Amino acid sequence: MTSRLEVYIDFKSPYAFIAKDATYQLEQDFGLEIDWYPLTLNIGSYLGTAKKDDRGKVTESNRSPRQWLAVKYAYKDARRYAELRGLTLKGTQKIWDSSLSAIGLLWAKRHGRDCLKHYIDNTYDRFWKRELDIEDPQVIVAQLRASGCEVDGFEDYLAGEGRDDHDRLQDEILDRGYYGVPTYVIDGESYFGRQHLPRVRWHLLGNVGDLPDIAYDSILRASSPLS
Amino acid sequence: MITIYINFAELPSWLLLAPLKNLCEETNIEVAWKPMLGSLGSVAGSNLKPGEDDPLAKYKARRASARHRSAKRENERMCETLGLTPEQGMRKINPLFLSLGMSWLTNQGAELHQYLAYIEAAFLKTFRDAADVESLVGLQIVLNESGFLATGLDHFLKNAAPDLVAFREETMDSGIFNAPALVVDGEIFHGREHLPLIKWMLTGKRGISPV
Repeated sequence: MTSRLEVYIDFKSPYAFIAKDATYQLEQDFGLEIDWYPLTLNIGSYLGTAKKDDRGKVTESNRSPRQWLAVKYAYKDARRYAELRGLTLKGTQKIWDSSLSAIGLLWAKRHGRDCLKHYIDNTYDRFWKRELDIEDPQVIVAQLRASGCEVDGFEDYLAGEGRDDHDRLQDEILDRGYYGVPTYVIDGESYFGRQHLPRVRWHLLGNVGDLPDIAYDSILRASSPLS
Repeated sequence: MITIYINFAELPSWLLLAPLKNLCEETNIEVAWKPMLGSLGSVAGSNLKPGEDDPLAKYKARRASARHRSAKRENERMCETLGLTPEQGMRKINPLFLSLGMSWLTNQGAELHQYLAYIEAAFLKTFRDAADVESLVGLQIVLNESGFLATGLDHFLKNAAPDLVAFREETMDSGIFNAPALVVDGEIFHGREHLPLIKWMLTGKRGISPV
């Protein structure tokens, strides 16, 4: 059985947010520690850009009608699963640059699994409640501090080594063939989307039996706080 | 009632059949079938005005390359499940005649098992046998092999067949843009991965919901 699982996420992706708890479940069920990485999407490059005001009215947009169809469906789809899990998922009012929060993730990784998990959980939950401006460096500092991470030196890291590491990682990720979130990687095999979680489980069990088909059929234990 | 949108040119629609059959057996839900001539697929496109330089051109090209590699691998996985070679799974067809065949079944009041037999035969002829499925003769063979009569098909195609191109546009404008799509009580689901949730909904929403 393999014990190395890489998971790529972006805080501004509702699909990665929904997948989070089912992904954590893998750690419990297989006794592994997930290696988390940020994959910062440039959504505007493939779905156009738009801004909304506080009432949800579109104030700027360069999206085509079909890009709007895809975006609206994606949010509706994500929201119906989020609601079933008791998660709050408010549609974003603009396309965020999530790179600062991604660099925060890289920093939190240096401070151990507990810090990292708190940072991921808290940032996801608050961002999707529209409580976080993830483009503000001070907000990321506060998030790290609240997650139990040491923050001395973070601002220098954010502007220097962290930014360099993040940008280099994004280049490498594309070269490896990963382009969306959540992406799961085991033994060089990549699976994009939580619908592949049955396959990830099959892979973690040693590829025994037939390859399962995709399904939003993740196993969440009844004892899960969100269930 | 569940409405299913099928694209005969794409493997995901074929992969829907087995779990869908199980769902129908477990819930006895009534099914309406609709053919889709195309899917929205990638909505990536240029939002630039003519003459503008694209500062993201390099990023877009690299992302498209990554997406292509991922799609190729997923095609291999689907083919493994369906017992095909990856080359067989990559066949490109115009699904018009097979879609008209589905309209013919609807016109004739076909039952669930007849739809399933026809759709299965259509996919086998397309991807396993690499047969002609883009002509009237090819359609008649698929109908014959699935045990459905083609008597009157000629007249139907000339006089009563729906305009499937117009139907595709109407369907996409209504928010159904990929196949397979499933509509339950007006709620749209794109992709067979939603079947566990649909089953959960149709069987009383008992237990922990799928994620």
